[in-house]
Amino acid sequence: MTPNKWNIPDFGFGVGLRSVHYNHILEHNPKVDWFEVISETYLESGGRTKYVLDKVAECYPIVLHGVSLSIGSSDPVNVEYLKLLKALADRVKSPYISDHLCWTGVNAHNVHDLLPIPYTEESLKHIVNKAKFVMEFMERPLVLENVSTYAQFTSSTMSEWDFHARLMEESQCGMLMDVNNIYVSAYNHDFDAKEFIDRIDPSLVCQYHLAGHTNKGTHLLDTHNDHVIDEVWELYRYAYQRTGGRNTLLEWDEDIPEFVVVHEEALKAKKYRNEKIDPLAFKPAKPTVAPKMRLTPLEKNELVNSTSHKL
Amino acid sequence: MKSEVPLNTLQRWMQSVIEHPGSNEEAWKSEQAERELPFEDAYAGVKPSKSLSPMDRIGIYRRMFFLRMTESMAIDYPGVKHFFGEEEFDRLVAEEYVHRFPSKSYTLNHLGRFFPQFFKESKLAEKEFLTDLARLELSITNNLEAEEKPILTQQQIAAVPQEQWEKVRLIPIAALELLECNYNVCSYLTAVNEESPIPAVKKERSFVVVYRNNYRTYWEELSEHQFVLLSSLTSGTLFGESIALLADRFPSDERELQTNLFEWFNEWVSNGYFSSIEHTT
Repeated sequence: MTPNKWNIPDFGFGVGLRSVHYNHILEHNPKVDWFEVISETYLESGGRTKYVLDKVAECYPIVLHGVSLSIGSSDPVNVEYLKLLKALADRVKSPYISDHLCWTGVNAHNVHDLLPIPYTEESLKHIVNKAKFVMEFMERPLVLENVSTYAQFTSSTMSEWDFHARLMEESQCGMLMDVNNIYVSAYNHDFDAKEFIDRIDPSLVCQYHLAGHTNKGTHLLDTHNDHVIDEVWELYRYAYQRTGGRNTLLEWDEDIPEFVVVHEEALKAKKYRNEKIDPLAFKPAKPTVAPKMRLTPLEKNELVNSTSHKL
Repeated sequence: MKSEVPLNTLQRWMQSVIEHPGSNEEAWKSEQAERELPFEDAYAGVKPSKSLSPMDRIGIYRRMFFLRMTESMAIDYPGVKHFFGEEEFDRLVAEEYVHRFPSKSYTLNHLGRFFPQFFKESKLAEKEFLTDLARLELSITNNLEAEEKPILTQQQIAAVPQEQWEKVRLIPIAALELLECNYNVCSYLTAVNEESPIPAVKKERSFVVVYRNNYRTYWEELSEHQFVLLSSLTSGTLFGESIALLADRFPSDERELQTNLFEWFNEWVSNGYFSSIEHTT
């Protein structure tokens, strides 16, 4: 067991705050340890999204998880975006900011996807500098998630895990270890998932992600639309033995079932930490039927966080 | 791919391939992509897997891009999507709109903000109807995230002495917008939303109010009289001047206006159109 470098507390087992669950959460105040929110959904929200976020922040710890930092882009840091992000982080008291080790566009475009980076000295140096800037600006740790990737570049001079490890060592940013993404990428690029985990300094791991994926035969897609498979749970157990307690989040972004189902899935993580699941931890409630509302902005940024199973 | 390919070059290449509306091969061999990296260099630069070629692997990101763009636009523009049908809507978005107006925002919520302009500048036969419809749908989307403000109550209204009404100013809520249109877009969109029989597209002046009440967005049709009065009231004009303006504009309708004015105002206050009253005396 290794404490994390920043003494970020282990909140326990969280789920994503998703619009389809708003009514349930507000009505039933479920016994969830914490919520992760997609930052971009709330950066300039003024209507119901702002109202719900503020209500949830009154009762639960919240961590911001973004999809547009684009730290791997050769574009410079978007300071206007950081200003909005910092204001939101301060408002909900997010102890750290997480986003992805990827890029989402260049020349001011945003492709709204988590694109792979070449693992080169040039990329590393560029991202280290940007990460340091972001952490200083945000006045809190930056935690970067390893993404599922579907392409790699021959120009890479090191492995993904060496790149990630060196990035953390040289910038002192943290890692959001997405165990499902390690599994997906290991399948897609034919490497050993445990070798990835072994290379990472446990003290720099701040959080875990768990999710379902879709097997297309020739490749896996990080679809976040199903339960976590046994092999990914076992990877989580393996990683947990090295780090000890870290915030653990269950991602479910497509075909989202009732809240109780998502929460149950998150709580399964206890078993892999050799902890008992408290049967009173959640109370199955009568599903709340959301009124037919045009909640259009709420779903879109959440789409970026996963790959569609429709591919 | 040569190891010395700068990061920016690689990313510009990959972005141009992802955003290209054609086939995978067309995207890789497009002028824009080849300008960044010649095809042979690019192909050699992406590792194949055991079962997927470099083109297949980048193809996953290409498909994801177009799926995300079309899904996002479909959420914001169900009326426009209904008009074209899913296939043509997707084609329009993927092959024309995102090419003309690529996303430059941190959020997908902003992707559709140029759709009215896109139709206005198009050569489509139905461009005027589509421009109006897109304006209405954009107004609804924007309304959902407008700042929330407290609503003026009937009690606050009743507390204003009779003699002061002429000189008060009504402050509208942030989540309210008025639209003047040239087509029957309100009834068209309402029918799409309610999955009821869709009216034929008809060129006729129409007036719409989009507002939010208790975090729920509504859109309703107004008469021209209501539109003129409400536009005046919400633009900062004094209450008395707004009434006078309405009477001047429709001198032959004075009796009708006198009959309906109170009812309209009552309804607007109940719907939560106003946030506060400003006294100028």
